[in-house]
Amino acid sequence: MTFLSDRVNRIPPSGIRVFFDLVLSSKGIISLGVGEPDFLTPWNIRDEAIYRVEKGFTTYTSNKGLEELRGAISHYLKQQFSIAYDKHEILITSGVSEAVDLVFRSFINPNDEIILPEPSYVCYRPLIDLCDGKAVPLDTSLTDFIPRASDIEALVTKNTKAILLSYPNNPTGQSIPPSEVSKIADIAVKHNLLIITDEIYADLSFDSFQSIASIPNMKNHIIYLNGFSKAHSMTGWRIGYVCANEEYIEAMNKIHQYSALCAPTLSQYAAVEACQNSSDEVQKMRQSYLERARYFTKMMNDVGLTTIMPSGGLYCFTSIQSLSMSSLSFAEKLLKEYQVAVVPGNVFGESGEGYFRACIATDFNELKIAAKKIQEFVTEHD
Amino acid sequence: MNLIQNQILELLKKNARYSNGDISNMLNVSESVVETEIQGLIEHGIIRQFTTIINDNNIDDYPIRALVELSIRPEKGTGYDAIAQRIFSYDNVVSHYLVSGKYDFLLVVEGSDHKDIAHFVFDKLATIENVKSTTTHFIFKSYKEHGVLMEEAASSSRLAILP
Ligand SMILES: Cc1ncc(COP(=O)(O)O)c(C=O)c1O
Repeated sequence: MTFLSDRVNRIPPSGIRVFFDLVLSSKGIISLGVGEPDFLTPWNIRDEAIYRVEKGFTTYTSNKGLEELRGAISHYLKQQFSIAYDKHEILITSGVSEAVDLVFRSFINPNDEIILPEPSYVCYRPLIDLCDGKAVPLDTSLTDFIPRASDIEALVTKNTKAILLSYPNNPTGQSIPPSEVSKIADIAVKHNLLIITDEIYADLSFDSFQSIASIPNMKNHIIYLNGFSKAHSMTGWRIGYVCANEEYIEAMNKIHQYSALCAPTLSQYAAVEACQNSSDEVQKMRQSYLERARYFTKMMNDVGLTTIMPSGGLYCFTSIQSLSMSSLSFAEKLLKEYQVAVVPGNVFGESGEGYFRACIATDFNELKIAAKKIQEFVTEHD
Repeated sequence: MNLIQNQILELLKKNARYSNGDISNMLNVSESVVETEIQGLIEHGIIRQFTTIINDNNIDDYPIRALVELSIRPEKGTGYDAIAQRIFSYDNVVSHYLVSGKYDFLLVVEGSDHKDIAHFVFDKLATIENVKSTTTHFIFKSYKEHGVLMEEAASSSRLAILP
């Protein structure tokens, strides 16, 4: 007999856990398996939090989050991405992670289908499953990791509820070109589907980025997610947000008020500062990621490991198909023989098999050593 | 200066040991372009030197430093520059600025010990006719040099692997 619920028992054990534990317990390795920036949170943001601690800003905020922060985000989205959400249309959450969970719980009925282009970030599938929804994967590996509107449309059934987009993508680093973005929007309207778009890496785009949420007259179809973890180097602060029309926000707030009450107060004050006074810092970090992404991409392509230059974010997604071994055995061998850790691509869905993800937010000297070791690995195993 | 020169400078300011190959990969230009641009920056006197930032806080018998403020009576015709030359030509003047405010020159002076620096200030600087007064601040500890912290702040380490 188990006390555990059927629901939690249904979440499959992660096959990759053993490898992850091996990495976590290994000493003296260079890890490109990291999932966060290598810059500290800019000092002005940390200083704002210290000030708020000193002054005793330590109570709950309203459920939806500080009005000041929602106003600052509204302004920031307008400036940065031409996205128009009023402060009533924004809900502050504990990271984008909470926002993803809220969206699924608020919009998925049992058997609803969510079209999910893969490879993709790992949290969507299990959270969709918990809501008894069905993730319908779209393999993007044959289209340079860019989901085509026509391929999405081919998966639409009478049960389809939503299309989930997450670009610039974790793990592939790719973004959808603007022409394709508008075609996807058209499909959502035509088939009356919701678009859930997680744009947590958008502010780390190396080229200009067009958000699907910037297309006019789409508000009833769009749930927009973003946060401060990546672009502002604020992973531990746990601040994200979801934007949508007021009806949707109120619905999500019904759950959020009971399950979270409010996002961490001090972090919310810090996030106000992040919105208002850190564009120079973010620009410096973005430039540094760009340089390192170019470097790593070049080093991999030089030894025949095809890598498409990412259009933003913290990762390169590299093909190991020329080596005829699985992602997992590549990652295991690389760790054992060369003391370099990467994330095997199959973690991000079946279509990630044959690839690995490398986090380029790694000190340049270490990135260089790791890239050279991967090159040696290829020479030896070719 | 063009964009590439700017980006090369930013990289070299962070790490003068980046190879031309590294820079070429990071900026997506050929190695020969990097080579030519760096040569050009040197020839135009924009890059003056490739040097190293040293944390001397814990090195015994290392030269010590003082900030020295000098009030100057400028010379007709040559202004501050001629007097500056008489000062910065000493090897132990490691930095020399003309500044706004209560005094005119701010120097960083290096010496083997306090006596050495005191001697230099009294004997060489204060005796220059156009120097009206001097104030010397010995440096006890350096926290940050050229944007680099002298001691790495403790911070939490990242999870080695996370999808
Ligand atoms: C695509 C994507 N969404 C959401 C998250 C979680 O972000 P947060 O720290 O805001 O919960 C991540 C973190 O890796 C991510 O890659």
